[in-house]
Order: sequence, then structure tokens, then C-alpha cells
Amino acid sequence: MSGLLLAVVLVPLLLAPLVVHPAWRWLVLIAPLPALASLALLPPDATLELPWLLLGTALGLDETTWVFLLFTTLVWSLAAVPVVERLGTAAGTGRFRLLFLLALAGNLWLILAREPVGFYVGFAIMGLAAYGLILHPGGLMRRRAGRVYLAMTLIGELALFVALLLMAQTQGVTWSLPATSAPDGTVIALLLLGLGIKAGLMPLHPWLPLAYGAAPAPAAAVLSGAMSKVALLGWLRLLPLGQVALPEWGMLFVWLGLVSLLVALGVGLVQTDPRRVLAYSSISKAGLFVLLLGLLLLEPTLTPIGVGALTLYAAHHALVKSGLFLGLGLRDLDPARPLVRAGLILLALALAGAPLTSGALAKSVAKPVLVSPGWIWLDLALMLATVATMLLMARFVWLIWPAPGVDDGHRGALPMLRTSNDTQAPVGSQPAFPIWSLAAWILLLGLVAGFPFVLGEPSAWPTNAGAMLIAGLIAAPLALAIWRRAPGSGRRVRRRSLGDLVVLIEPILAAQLWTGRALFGRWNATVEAARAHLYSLGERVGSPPPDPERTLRAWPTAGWLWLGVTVLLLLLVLVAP
Amino acid sequence: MTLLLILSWLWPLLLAPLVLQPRRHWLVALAPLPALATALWIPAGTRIELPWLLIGATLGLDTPGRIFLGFTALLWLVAAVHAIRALRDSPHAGRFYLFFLLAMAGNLWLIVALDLASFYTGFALMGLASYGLVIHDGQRESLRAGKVYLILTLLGETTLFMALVLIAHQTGSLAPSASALAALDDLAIGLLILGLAVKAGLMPLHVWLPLAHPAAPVPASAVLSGTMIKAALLGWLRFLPLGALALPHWGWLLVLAGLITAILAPLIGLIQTNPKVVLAYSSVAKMGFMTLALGMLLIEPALAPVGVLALAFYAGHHALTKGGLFLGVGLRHTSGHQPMILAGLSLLVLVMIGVPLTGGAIAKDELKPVLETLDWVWLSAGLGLAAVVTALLMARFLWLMWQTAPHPEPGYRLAGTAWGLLIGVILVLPLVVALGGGVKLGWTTNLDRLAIALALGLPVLLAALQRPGTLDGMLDRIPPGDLLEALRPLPPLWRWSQRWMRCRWLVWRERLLGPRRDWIDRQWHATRASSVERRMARWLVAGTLWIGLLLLIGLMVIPR
Repeated sequence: MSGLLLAVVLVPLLLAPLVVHPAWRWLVLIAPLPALASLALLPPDATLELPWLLLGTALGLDETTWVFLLFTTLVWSLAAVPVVERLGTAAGTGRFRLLFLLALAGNLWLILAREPVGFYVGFAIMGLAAYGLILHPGGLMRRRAGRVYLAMTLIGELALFVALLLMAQTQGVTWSLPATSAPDGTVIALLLLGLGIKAGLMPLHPWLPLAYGAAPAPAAAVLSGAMSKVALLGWLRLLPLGQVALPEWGMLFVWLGLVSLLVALGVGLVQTDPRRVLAYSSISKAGLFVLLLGLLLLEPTLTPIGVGALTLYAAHHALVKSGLFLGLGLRDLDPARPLVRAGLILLALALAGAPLTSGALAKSVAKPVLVSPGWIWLDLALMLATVATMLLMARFVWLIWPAPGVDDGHRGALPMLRTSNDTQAPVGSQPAFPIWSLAAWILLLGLVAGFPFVLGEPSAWPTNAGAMLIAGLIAAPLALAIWRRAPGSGRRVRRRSLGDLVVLIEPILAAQLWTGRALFGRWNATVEAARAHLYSLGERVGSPPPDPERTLRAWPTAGWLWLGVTVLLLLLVLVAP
Repeated sequence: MTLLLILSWLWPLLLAPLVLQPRRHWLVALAPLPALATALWIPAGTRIELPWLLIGATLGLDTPGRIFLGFTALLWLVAAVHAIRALRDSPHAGRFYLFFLLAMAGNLWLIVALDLASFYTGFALMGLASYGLVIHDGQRESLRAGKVYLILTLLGETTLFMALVLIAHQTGSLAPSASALAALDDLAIGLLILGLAVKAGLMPLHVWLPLAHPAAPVPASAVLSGTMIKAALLGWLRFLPLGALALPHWGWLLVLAGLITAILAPLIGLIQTNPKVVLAYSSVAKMGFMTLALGMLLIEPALAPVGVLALAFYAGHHALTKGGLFLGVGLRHTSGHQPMILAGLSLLVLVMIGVPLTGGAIAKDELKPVLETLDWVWLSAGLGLAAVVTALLMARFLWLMWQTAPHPEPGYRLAGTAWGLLIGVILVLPLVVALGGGVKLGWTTNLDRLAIALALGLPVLLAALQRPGTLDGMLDRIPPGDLLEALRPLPPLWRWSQRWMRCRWLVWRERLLGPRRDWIDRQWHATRASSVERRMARWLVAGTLWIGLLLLIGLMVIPR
């Protein structure tokens, strides 16, 4: 029975080559099914040992894993519907589906993995495959976003790899740091760096607004919903939570979390693209996760509550955020469809943590941890963050509201109105509205709406009502003024990429690079001159003896040799015990 | 002795009305002299009670107070000498000198004040008079900066006032001792930190600083950025329960906020094009650094005796250097002898980034035990990063100064001489203090950070020299007053919708009441039939009554 766990990972991997063919694209829908089946059929502590694979692979479930697997699978299954229906058979979609399944396989593998090697391999497959998802269907903006994503992901993976290596050095290939009084600071710092990039923690966030803004709707949905939660899972698994109090690292997590939480909200408020608004909201939520982790590191006794709260929060955020991205994809086809708009507003309310939504439930569950240190200023900062989150979501709703004049009449020409996401809408004459994608999305809406009532106590429902009121008092006059076209409201906020550190860093890097090249060129010229001098000296002495190695150094030979050796090594690794 | 302590702040106040006349402008330079004399000759530990002043004042000098008084008076003196020449041709020079002296009096008063009431009076006088300095040139931008400054200052002063009232209430004394301050509750401490954080320019309350400091004339921005923001630090040192008990959560707030400020402010400053804005962001960053050290003292009270002195010393170093840099900006624009000016500025920049053997390195060395209290890797990494970005920021400042084209005017000889003497003091005094106190000279402090800064900065400098325009896209991408700029479109919209709602309300009321107006009028007047009451409701009568009542209350209060 526990062989099903292997199928969870293996089925997407095996299906991946098949879905390249347009006729078999529906196979994408099947790929997440084994995961759903294993959730339904397997006991919550099923494990599977595969000692012959890699350094000894083990797959298994526990409580946290179960929840992560559940929401991850849900997000992937629901995102698979528009991949099949919306993206259709256009050029390049075969590649997209292939990478989609590879990323899915990686994501599921790392969730199920019970040892660091499997975790890292899944993490790497997922991270690299997602590069192709962001690039689809090409274009300058996406290439730039992809480049930044790839560079940062590679840095993150390297850091994670080193951290895992260091851990393996001290304790062998097992989970979780040892319960010694002084865990290695380097490991924690590397984990923070490696997984912080995936989560989008400030200042490691620059890839996130670019990638979310550029990726197609289903890709953005899985990126934000499923893949970025992986960082949280990694922290929960690898940090020594609940074993020792680590005030040093706890304070660092608290500090970084607070900065992310507050700064990202401020930056998000001045964005003009709804996708970027959502991206900054993701960054601020990553800050909240890190803040909670920091509080757990400060106060280990809270770990059981804290881990549960974090898991629940992750589930809520994954469902809501992926729903928002999928909904944006639907909205781009037809901005005036009231059902889509109403659904988006519901999701935005949930993300803002309005009373009676999943956000309020998640907040109320996390509250015991948040108030644990008893710092007044932390409470105030969190209150501020709650209000600002609501304002950010108000801004989001404002941005998705169709421009005046769009409502009345000409619905057909709408896809052309959006310029920033030109390729989202299928080019061509009057495409049919993707009914199945809409149905899947409505299913997700139902899940989100039912979330607080199924899981939460009634006492958790009215959380955040006060903050909601304050946010309303701030936002309502503004909305009124802009809606009524007050003088001056037409003036746009000066466009500013305050948060896009990339914009500021790129010229600096370019300058550094330029100088490096200039200096290197100088150096090269000197070396060349010296070499020419030496050669002329050598020729005076006589021609050198024939070099038997030269044939081996020719490019084709060397390439084949390298590939052969690599394959041989791989085979040895797979076969060797 | 008593007289000198009083004169140190009263003398500028007495001179203030006189300097309005153009003939007596030079009196400005005499104003800080009693304070300087006090700092030099009155021993620390002096304390006098003046029961007749306000609600009973206590003036005096403790050791940190003496250091503060010394550098404050010195910088005011040099700035005053500069102001006499720089403002000579300004049409409203008299007004400027008046506000200059008032702000000076407030600043000196709050330093020699040991009780809450005098501290607050001096603080308020300084804050409000500085508004006149900020808006002096009357430009649109200055007026806007002044508005922002005034609003934030008033908010800060109100908060501070509440905090001081709470302190007086909870300690039961107007001049509480350190042990009495241990009785403070969280509300008082929170308000105290918040109220002074505005003046200190702690992020995100720093928005007024990059607007106001560049708007004011050079001598005013020198004292604004040099001494006045240090008043916040002094207030914290005086009224927070340092050394009495550990307050980790407030300490952590200060440390975290300080660290953010010290890292983020220089980064924003790096892309500015106005040298005074660059200096203002550098001031914000340095205040963040000092706040961080203060937070450490709250976490670890055993360090307080060493830490307070080291902080005062650091504040002195920064005040004099930053004041010198601002005056140097003015001299670079107007003075002759440009090579000398550039050399002086370079020296000041080196002091600011803490090159070994300078005041910056020595001051930092003295603070080292405080900063290394916790011995946390990431904290020292954050501090190292802050030092690196500060160094880059000062390099950027020097670059901007290099690019500035001077317009020499005659008559700056005296101001230039005073500036040169100030640089001399900045270079020599820390060495003397360090040698006298047996402190290390900071041979190796900061060397590693400076090396990193060089490695980062030199390629950019090369690229900027060889390929001008590479970095132009970044410049001024974030306008001065970063956060505020993002919020700028909001208040008009708020006001508009308020007006809109009021209009709506008026229309509705008219529609409801209009037909019944006559009836209501009749009913209303029927209730106010008495002619006496109607006569008293007239403006003139009501006003006279109100003033009379006020006078009466005043008379009743004064005899107590």
C-alpha cells in the first residue's frame, strides 16, 4: 500500500515526457491524482524506504507533511485545469506542460522526503523547472524575470546544499538538527539564506515581483501557492524548533520578519499592476512566517501550537493566493464578468484577514505565539501590519475594477485593453470562456469560503474586526475622492520601483562588471604579450615535441568523454548500495 | 557659578531682540560664549535649585551634560561666525538671527536643565524656533519642508510632554534620579521613546530630516543636523532608567529600529544628488547607530556607566564633524581658497567614516564594549554593513562636492578660519582625550570595513569616470523624504472627500429643514427671549468676557 507514496512522485515524472504531445495534454490532470489518492487511502504515518535510490531514500507522511501535501496537491490540481484548457495547443505549451509536471514531481518529492537528499533533489528539480514556467511564452520582460529568478534560485540552492552538507557532517543523513545546546550558527544562517530566497524574504525578494508579474496565471498560482511554502516546510523541518531557545537567531528572524512584513506592504501599496500587489503581499506574508518562526526560536515551549498555527496559515495562504492568481487569469479574459470579480473580492477579503474568512481564523490561531513575548511595540506593529494588509487588498480590488466605460457594452474587445499582460489573453477571434477553469476556480472559492467554518471555532470568526474598521475609515474617503474624480486624483502616483531592488542593483552590478572586464582585458593583454614573447623565444630554441594529449583536448572528444563519465557515475550511484 | 549656569542659556535670549538691527548682527557670535565658558570651567556635578523659575527648576551639569554643552556651544559659535557673513546680504537677516538665537537658547537650556519642566521648555523653544530657520528663504520647497517639520515636531513635542507628565507623576519628582526612574511603566517609556524618536529621525519618523536640513541656510542646517537632533539622545540618556534595571523589550525595539535606520538610510542617501540631502541621510543613519547603542544599554544595564559616557563622546564627535561638513558645503559654494576647502572636507569625511586615529575610530572604539555586549554574529554583521554603506555614502558626498562649481564671494575669511579651527579641534581633541584617558587609539578599527567599502566603491567610481551616464538612471529615483513622497497625494484626497461629504450633508439638511425654517426660527427665539442672553452672545461682549475670565484665573493661580 505504501507503494502509493512512490507513485505520488513517479507518476508526474513518468507522465512528463508524454504530455509534450498536444493530444495527450489532458494527462496533466492525472499527474496529481496519486497524491490525492494517497491522502485519502494511506494512514497518516505511512512510510516507504527505498535504500537503493540515491543515498537511501525514504518517503513518508506525518501531520505537518499531510497538511502540506493536501494543499499543495489541491493547488497543483486546480492550476492544471487552466494549463490544459487555457494554454491549449499553442507553440511552446508542450515545453510548458513538461516543466509543469517536473516541478510538480519535485514539489511532491520534497514534501514526502524523509531525508535531506530527497528533500534537496526535489527542491532543485522544482526550482529549476519553474524557470521554464516563468519564461513561457517568452519575451523580453519574461526573460529578464527568468534571469533574475534563475540567478537567485541557484544561489539559494547552493546555500541550502551547503547547509545540508554541514548538517550531514555532524549528524549523518537524518532529519532535524541535533538537540545540542549550541547548534551551528553557520547552518542556520545558510538555511535562512537558502530558503529565504524561495520564500521571498526581504532583502532576498527581488525575483518575486518580477516572476509573479511575468509568469502565466497557472504558473504564478503554483509559484505563490505551492512552491513558496516549501521554504516554510524546510524551516519547520531543519531548524531546531522546540529543542533549545536560540535568542540570537530568534531575534534575527523576528527582525527580518518585521522588516519584510512592514516594508513590503508599504511598497506594495504604490504598485500599479495587481500581480505585483499580490507579489508584495506574498513577501509580507513570508515576513510574518519568519517572525513567527523567530518567536518560536525565542520560546521553544510554544512549538506545538506554533507549528500547527504556521501550517494552518500556510494552507490558508496557499489556497487564497493561488486562487487570486487563477482568478486574475480568468479576469484578463473578461474583466467585466461579475462572478469573477465577486470571487476575487472574496479572496482578497480572505487574504486581508477580514472577519469570518480563513484569514481571520489563521490569525486567531497564530495569536498565542504573536503575543507570547508581551512586547507592546510588537503588538502595535502587528496591528499596523493588519491594517496595511487590508489597505493593500483594497488597492488590489481597486486595480482589478474595470475602468469606467468598460462595463457598458463592448465586452468583446476587452482582451486587447490590457497592455501589460498582452499574452495572457489568447490572440484571435472571440475565444470561448474557459468553463472548466472557471469551474475549478469556483471549487477553490468554495474551499476557501468553507475553511473557517469547518476548521475554526466560532470564537475565531470575528478576529480583526477592529482593524477592518480602521482600514475602512482610512480607505473609504480616498476611494470616494477618486471615484468621484476629485481634482488631483487623476494624477498618478509617480511610478517608482522602490521595492524593485533589482532596478537599483543592476546598474551597480553593471558598473562592477564593466570595471572587472576592463581590468581583465588589461591583464589579458599583458599576459598575451608575455606569452607571445615566450613563444618567440621558444621558436628560437626549436619546435616543441608533439603532444599526445592534444587530441583528447579537442572539444567534441572532451564533451563525449565527460558525458560518458557522468552517466557511468550516475549508474554507479544508482546501483551501488 | 550659578550666574554662569543661568547665563549660558539666558544670554542668547537677552541678545535675541538686539540682533534684529543690522548694526548689531555681530552680537550673534557672542551668544554661545557663556555656555562655552560653563562647559570649560564649571565642574561636573554642579547642581543648583531655582524655585522661582517655572515650577521650580534644577539646573546643573553632569559629565555627559558637560560634554553635550561643550560641543553644542562650540558648534553654535562656529555656525554663528559663518552666519554673520553668509546671511549678510539676505533681506531678512534680522529675522534669521532672532530665530537662530532663540533656537540656540532652547538648545543650551535643555542641556543644563536637570528637571523635566526646563528640559521641555528648552526643547519646545528650540523646536519651534527652528521652524523659522527652515523656512528662511521662503522658497516653495522650503515652505513645504517647514510644514512637514512643524507638524512632526509638534506631534513629537506633544508626545514628549505626555511622557514627561507621566514621568513626573510616576516618580513623584520633577528632577528624578536614575533609581527613581525605575518606577516608570511601559506607557511612559513608550511615549518618551516615540516623542524623542521624531527629533532623532528614527525610521520611519525620519521624513522631515532630509527635507528640512537641506532647506535651511547652511549655518542653520549645521546646527540642526549637528546639535539639535542630539537633544533627543540627551533626553533618552536623562530620562530612561539606564543602569537601574534591564528593559529588554524596549531595548530590542531601539536596537532593531536603530539597525534598520543605520542600514537603510545610507542606501537611500546614495542615490541623492543634493549634497545636503546626502548629509541629512548620513545624520539619520548615525542617529540610528546611536539609538542602537542606547538600546544595548537598556538590555544590559551593567554597561550604563561606561556606555553613557561613550555615547556622549560619540554624539560630540558626530555633531562637530557633521556641523563641519555642512559648513564646508557652504564654503565650497562661496569661499575662495577652494583647494583648502576640499582638503578640509576630505579630512572631515575621513573622520566621519572612522579612519584609524581619527575621532570616528576612537569614538567607535569606546563604544565597542557596548556594541559587543551580545556577541551575536548577525548583529556585528549588520553593524559592519552599516559601516560599509556609511563609508560609501560619504564617498558619494565627496564626489558631489568635487563636482560642485564654486561661485567665490569676498569676505569669507573669518568664517573659513573658524571652520579651519573647528577641523583642528575635531582632529586633535579626540586624540588628546584618548591619550589622557588611556583609551586605545583605534589603530585597526574599521579597517576591514573600509577595505570592503573600497572594493565595492572603486569599480563603480572607475565606471563613473570612464563611462559617465552608466548610473544616471538611478539618481534621485527615491526623492528626499522617501516615505512622505509616497504619501503625498493622499491628504488632498482626504480633504476633498471630507468637503464632499460636508456638501452632501448641507444639501440634505437644506432639503430637510428648508421648508420648516421659519417655524424653527420662531421656536428657537422663543426659548432665548431674554435680551440679556442675546446681548451676551455678541462677539465683542463674549470676547471681553473670555479675556476677563482668563485674567481672573491667571491672577488666582499666580499667588500660589
